[in-house]
Amino acid sequence: MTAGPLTSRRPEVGPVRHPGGWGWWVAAGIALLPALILPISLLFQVIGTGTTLAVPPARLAELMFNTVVLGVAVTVTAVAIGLATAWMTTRVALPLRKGWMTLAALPLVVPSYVAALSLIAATGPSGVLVEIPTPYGFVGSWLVLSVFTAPLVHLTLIPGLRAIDPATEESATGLGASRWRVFATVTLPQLKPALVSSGLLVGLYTISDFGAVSLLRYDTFTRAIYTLYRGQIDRRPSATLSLILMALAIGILLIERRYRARVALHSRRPRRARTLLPLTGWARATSILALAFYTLVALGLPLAVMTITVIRGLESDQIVGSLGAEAFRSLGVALIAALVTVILAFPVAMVITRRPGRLSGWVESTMWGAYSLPHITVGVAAVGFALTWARPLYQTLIYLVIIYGAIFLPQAVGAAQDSLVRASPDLEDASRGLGRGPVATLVRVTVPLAVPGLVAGAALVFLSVMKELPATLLLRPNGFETLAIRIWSSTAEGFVTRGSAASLVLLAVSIVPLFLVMSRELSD
Amino acid sequence: MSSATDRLAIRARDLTRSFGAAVALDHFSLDVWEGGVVTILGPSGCGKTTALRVIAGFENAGGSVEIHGRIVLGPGVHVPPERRRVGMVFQDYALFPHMTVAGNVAYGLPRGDRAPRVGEVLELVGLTGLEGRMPNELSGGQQQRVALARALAPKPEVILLDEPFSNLDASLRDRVRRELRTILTEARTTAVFVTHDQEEALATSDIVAVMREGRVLQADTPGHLYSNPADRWVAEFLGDADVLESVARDGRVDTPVGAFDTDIRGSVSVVVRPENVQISLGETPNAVVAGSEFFGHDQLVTLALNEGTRVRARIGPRPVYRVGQPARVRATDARIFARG
Repeated sequence: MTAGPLTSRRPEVGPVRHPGGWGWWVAAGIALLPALILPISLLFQVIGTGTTLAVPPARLAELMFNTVVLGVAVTVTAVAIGLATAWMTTRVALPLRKGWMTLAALPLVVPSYVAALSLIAATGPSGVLVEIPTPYGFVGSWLVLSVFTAPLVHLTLIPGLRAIDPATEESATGLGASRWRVFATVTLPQLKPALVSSGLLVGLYTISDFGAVSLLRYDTFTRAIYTLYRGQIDRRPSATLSLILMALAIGILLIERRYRARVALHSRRPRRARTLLPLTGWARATSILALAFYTLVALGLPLAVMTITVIRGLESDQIVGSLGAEAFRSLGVALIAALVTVILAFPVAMVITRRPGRLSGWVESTMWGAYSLPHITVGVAAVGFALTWARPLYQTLIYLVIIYGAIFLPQAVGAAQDSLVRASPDLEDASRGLGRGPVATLVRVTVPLAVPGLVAGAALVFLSVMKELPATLLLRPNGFETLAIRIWSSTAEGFVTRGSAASLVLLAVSIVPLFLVMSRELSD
Repeated sequence: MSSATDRLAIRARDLTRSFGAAVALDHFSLDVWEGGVVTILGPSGCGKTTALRVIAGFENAGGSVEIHGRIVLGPGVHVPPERRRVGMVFQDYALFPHMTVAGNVAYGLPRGDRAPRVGEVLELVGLTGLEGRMPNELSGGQQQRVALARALAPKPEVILLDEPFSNLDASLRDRVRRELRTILTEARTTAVFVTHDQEEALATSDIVAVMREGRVLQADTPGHLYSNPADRWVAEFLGDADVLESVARDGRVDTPVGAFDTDIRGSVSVVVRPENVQISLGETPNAVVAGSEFFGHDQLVTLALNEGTRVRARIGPRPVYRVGQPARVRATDARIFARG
């Protein structure tokens, strides 16, 4: 008699629908094991051997200051660039608008160490572009990271801009507001959650970055962690810094997630198509020039500089070196890691989409938490764990692949989730009702429907592993030189030509998976 | 007794299920005779879809379910849905988007020679020639028939349909409903529908089971259910009805619209259906006309009784009454229920 307001459809949250199904939870738990163990192991490394702070407080303050200043500066700049590119490519009637939209997103695939390398190759006494001193330190890091993280903002704001109901902007215009006033009072406030969220993502990316700051010699946490790790036998100082940086990253992630929830809340798709802003004259020319300038700086220049460097190197008989072995290793390990990650991701995606509840909420948070950890800190934690508790794993390929899986799991889960959400659980019920058991249903209905998502997820993981530097640097087997390692170490040692050649190969092999990912990301 | 139960296609007893604090099924019991078409009718949220899903095996519950005498749910028994031989048609059809029409229909058939049976059921539902289409290339009505064909293909003992017409346009609904009834009769399949649409339930079913707050209040033929509702709620749920409060004594209850015989004593609700209300102008008036809705083939006249309450009368298109016109109102029939 106490029946509350039940819906006529089955409740969204309820006990397990089919008896059994605990297998999914076990599989998801296994996938999350490294994400749970690594931070704890790091904590043990820090507190296990003593209570004194392993790093002088003055040094800590300096690193914190440098890291935060860079983070804030890059965030502000990247948000400005990304807002401009996203707005122009979604709202203005430009020729080849969709093309510009894709081009402005592409710099995201240029790893920060490759970007830093092109800045180093372009400048300096033997610079390809201008013979000014290379801007090492803050300026160089700020420039490189701003330009190459702006696509993160661009990609976050495009769905945000699309979700704004055109009617709100049109009513403002109808009430006599100027174009700028509409933008400032109607568009921007609705975009605020997406803006804050993308800014925090850039901040997180910046404080986690190792490639650019290490090559451009700017003293942040990540660079200091690596220096301490290399230079000292005692792992406590590098572990201490790693733990602090992890805490910082988790803090940013927690704030970001609160904003992301609001983004999701606002992202209802408007019913009516929007009319694009018909810019003419100088406004139109400025828009096109701005987009062209950004694309040139972020894509054209690095490619041109590296190509010229390689050609000059070949002409003057510099050792460019054979890159076949490195490319083979990069491709091989990325392929294996992509496969393993997708297999690990499937049960996690099933648990999140098909068994929503508090426990699957925890699964999701843990996974994203691990994703947001700076890779150098994951590397330090993983080395510490292996040396203390799992010696046989240390510097093995298997261990490297496991860590890749732990780091990049959400990329594969997210993509698989997209497909699973679209496939109604009624389809699985229909299959059961037609006489097929749980396994046959999985094989013939669930997995085939998830395939597009799984492939996209694999492509994403593949790209990420190819580019990954800091964790690879710390965890790779002896002599296991990948393209990423080759680029970074050559550049660090001053062999810009070798680094450029390896960079071009890295970008070339990334093209196919890149198109897979991009076409999904930017589709309406 | 045993010979009677043998002919039951579904025997559900005391099904009980709650989601958190919300009770979806509260001692739900239902008998479905072989070959019958039964509709579970109730307002949204009454647990009717849950009842269907428990019978199909997609949801667990306390109580027991027998299908053709075989226990599929009971203490320690839970036969998985794939072994219940129950066909299900989902509200949104749940066609496999990655398979053709033929692939969908063949899905539940044993390996081997599936093609003849696929052709047979597609002919039954009138979709011959569309074997190679993908579900997204079909209209709503066609998708619905594919879903039905898919459910019928393995020759299930029982077929369950969850609001099968709710996704169809109103214009299409009546036609599809009649076709479906014909198909089910031809296939000689026992069918259980779920709906919240009274008219649909009364028009399509042999038996209608009215459900409220997780339990079946009354199950009967549409005609009997309509004229002999078990309580006031069922009466009002199953069509237009007006209620007059009164007190019964000495086997009689007096109301402004007439006196009725009853065995009940004390406070009663007198439920009057508009088609049993008559209007006359010559006698002493006991009401005034308060308004009318015109439907062409008939009209619904609302009358304000002198003592305050309102009753409605469903009469022919003529005569036309003026608002404010005094009239004499009389009910030829009424159902009387104890109050409180």
